[in-house]
Amino acid sequence: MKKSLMKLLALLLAFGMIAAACGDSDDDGDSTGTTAAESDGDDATTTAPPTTVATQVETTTTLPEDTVDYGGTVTLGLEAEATGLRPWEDSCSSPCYNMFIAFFDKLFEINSDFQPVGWLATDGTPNADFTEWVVTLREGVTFHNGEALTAKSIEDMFAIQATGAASGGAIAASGLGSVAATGELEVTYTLTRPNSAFLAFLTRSPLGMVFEPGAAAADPDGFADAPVGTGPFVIDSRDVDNETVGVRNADYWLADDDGNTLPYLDEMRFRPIPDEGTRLSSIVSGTINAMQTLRQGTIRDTRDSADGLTLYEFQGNNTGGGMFNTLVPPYDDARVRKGLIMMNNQEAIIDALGGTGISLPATQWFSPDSPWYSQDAADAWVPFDPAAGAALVQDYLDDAERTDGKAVGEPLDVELSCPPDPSLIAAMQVFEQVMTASGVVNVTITQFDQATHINTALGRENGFVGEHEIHCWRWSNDADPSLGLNPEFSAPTPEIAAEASEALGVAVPFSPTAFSNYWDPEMFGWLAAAVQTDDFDERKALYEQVMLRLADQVPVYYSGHTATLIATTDDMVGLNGWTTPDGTLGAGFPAAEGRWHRVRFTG
Amino acid sequence: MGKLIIVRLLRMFATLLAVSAITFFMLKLLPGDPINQIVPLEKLDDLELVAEKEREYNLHGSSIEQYGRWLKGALRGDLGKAITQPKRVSEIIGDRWTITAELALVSVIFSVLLALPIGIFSAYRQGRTSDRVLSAGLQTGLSIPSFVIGVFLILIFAENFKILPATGWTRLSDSVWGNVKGVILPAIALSMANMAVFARLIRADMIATLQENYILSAKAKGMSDWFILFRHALRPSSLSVITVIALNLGALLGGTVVIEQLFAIGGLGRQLYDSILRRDYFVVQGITVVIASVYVVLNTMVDFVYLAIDPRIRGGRH
Repeated sequence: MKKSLMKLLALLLAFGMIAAACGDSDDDGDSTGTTAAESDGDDATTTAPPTTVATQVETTTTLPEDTVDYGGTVTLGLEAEATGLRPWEDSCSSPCYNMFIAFFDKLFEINSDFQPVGWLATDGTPNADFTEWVVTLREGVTFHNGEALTAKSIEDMFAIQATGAASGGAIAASGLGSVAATGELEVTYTLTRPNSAFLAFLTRSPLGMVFEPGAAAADPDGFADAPVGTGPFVIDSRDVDNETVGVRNADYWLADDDGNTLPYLDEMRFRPIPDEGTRLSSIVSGTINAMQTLRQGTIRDTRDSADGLTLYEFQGNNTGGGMFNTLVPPYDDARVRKGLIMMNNQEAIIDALGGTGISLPATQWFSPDSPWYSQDAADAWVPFDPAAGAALVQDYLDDAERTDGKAVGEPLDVELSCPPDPSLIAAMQVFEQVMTASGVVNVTITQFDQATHINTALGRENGFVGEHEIHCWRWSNDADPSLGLNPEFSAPTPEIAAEASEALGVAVPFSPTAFSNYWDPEMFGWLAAAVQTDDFDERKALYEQVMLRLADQVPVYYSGHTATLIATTDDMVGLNGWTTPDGTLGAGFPAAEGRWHRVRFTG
Repeated sequence: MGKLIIVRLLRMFATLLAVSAITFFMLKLLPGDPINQIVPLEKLDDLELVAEKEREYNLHGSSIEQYGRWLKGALRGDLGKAITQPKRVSEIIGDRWTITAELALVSVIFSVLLALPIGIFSAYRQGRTSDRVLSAGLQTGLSIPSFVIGVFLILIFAENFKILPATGWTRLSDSVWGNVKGVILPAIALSMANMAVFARLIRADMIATLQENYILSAKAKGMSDWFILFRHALRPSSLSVITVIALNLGALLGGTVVIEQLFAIGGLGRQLYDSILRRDYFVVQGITVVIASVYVVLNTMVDFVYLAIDPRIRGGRH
């Protein structure tokens, strides 16, 4: 009897534990499950109009009320740690950007049209041929260590940036030659070639983030853990891979529309939580109260767990997909590239990536809500048509001049490679199945870790040709198109650069990051022309031509635009609807990069 | 005896040398050049800069020369310069080893605290239903990977009951209570497999001990079962488990890689994982050598304990 009772109790206990683990959380009495920031209630005085940010997802949110609620701590779960907090040295992607922007301000911000507008700068004016930019700084801004921000600070910053691992590349890409303080608050940037999109470089790290050059020069290594900027939060402590804490900058220069000094929060805590599942568990359990993700599957899961959370989704220009190594047979033939991409079932691949209903199929480097989006390019993009694709490949196979050296009629041997992420592997398998079913292609799938994946495409060991074939890759971002397109489609090897410079009579820069190795002198001319004018329509027409050429020649291909998400507890507002100092509506939370200076709790 | 100690110490250093050499040359076999992580991609055609960085990071010359320079530095306590962080490898290890050591230690304590009563009770009830149920349970504990247990623990105690944090680590120096709360779930996840091993060992040794004549004699004297179990049987049944605990403590340092990743704990395991992905060769090398050193030192200490307590080993017969 006693034994039976014990067994029964044990069974009940086990059942209870399992049921508790599987059941819905219904003990959140205060959970409201909203997808929009809510008003403050009685003490609210005004309500700003709703702002829709993303495309096909529900992200209608209201602007924050102007009632002041100071205090509170945001603990933000990030998908990766920032390797360091030195804008000139440490490369910084979405998770790290959330930290950078807490400690540093940028000279320019991006508005809701993704155009640069003044932040620490009030103005940026070019000369006639866009080789010189005069930037005027805001008055009365001080760094966290009390030093005043002057034009000399920016000039001294450049001396450090010139040798920085991260900024060195940006300096080369932007054509920046020198920076000089030409007044107390006036800085002159002199470029080595025209660049009408130069201000775009000042909207981001590594060139746009303003750091205190004295502190950086005094201890460049120590700066990685003890940054000194002008940002809304001052570094308090940094325990790499555990937690970085920023406390309210009491002397922050920016105030809200009612003159209340920003930021509202007492503290920002940044916790890198690399595992997607436990990051979501952390916010659901209350261990953290905000998180970011770039994974479509996590966005889907977060939507399912959205009780008590506000979801800030964004679908920008960034898209998954891949590229062909166009210097390597058979990918040097457009028939092969196009034929294979006709076997790329975007919808099925997006589904395999967990992005159905979240991620839009991409046809170009711009999402449909981008001002640069081209409907003509979208219409021209290669359709999913495996039979037509197989016919194109067959045409190549039957060509006596086929470049891969195989006998006429022999099937293609291709290698498809992605990093070993489960969703990417699933997506590769979708692509592989269609290609194999065509009967004209033998596919080998390979997976290497991220570093090897990049190194294979970089190909420093073989003259920057690389050893990749069909290679998973990500394209585009929400910055100016020139930042991504110009390096990708410049001369891919030093030899090609030399030959092209001689043939075209202009200096064609060699770009080690031209990963697809696609060299098209005419397209290069369009891209060069697009940074020699600031006329938006003219630039847009040039980028449209580039997108049409990419649709025709297919050196790169796409899956879906990358939706991103910042999730917060629903007592937090201000992530959306922030404005720049001149009152322009800001970009919100592009690529899950939040601006936390106006975030506050509604009590 | 003195000669034996010297031999053991020499063997320990030889093992460490072999581990460091094997790790170094295996890392060299990985595809890709670490210089690609150091020099910005856009500047890789600047051969002068590449050469300068190769010298700065000890990547110049043949692999043997590089290893020789690394070894020379390591003997002075300098494990090289990290590629992806502006720190020396020894500094990175210094920042993190306390976290991993605490996690491993607490995990062992949990394992022992759970294993002792289970092992003793199983031995006491040998062959009965409760013993069979516990044995099956231990087998299950041994079979389930620690990260699966970790996920379940997060679901139950963090997501559902909201009584423990799902992720994160608070250093003991910052908050004792925060530290205690943060260590519980990862330590339990890490302890399950060891607990099963320890409990089975205790059970097996205990069963053998319970057959001894002096136990029968104690029973004949009318001593209570619990008194016999804890006062007379437990001590002689603990020797092998103590040895295994010491060895497992070293192995646990390596075992924290997955758990630290899952629970977002910035210890040595997570640093090792990140460094492998980022091709931060010298950090991988340094952490591997540190883990190997702990393992080898503990092993050697166990050998010394045996030397001290077992005259047959001292006599050189084993």
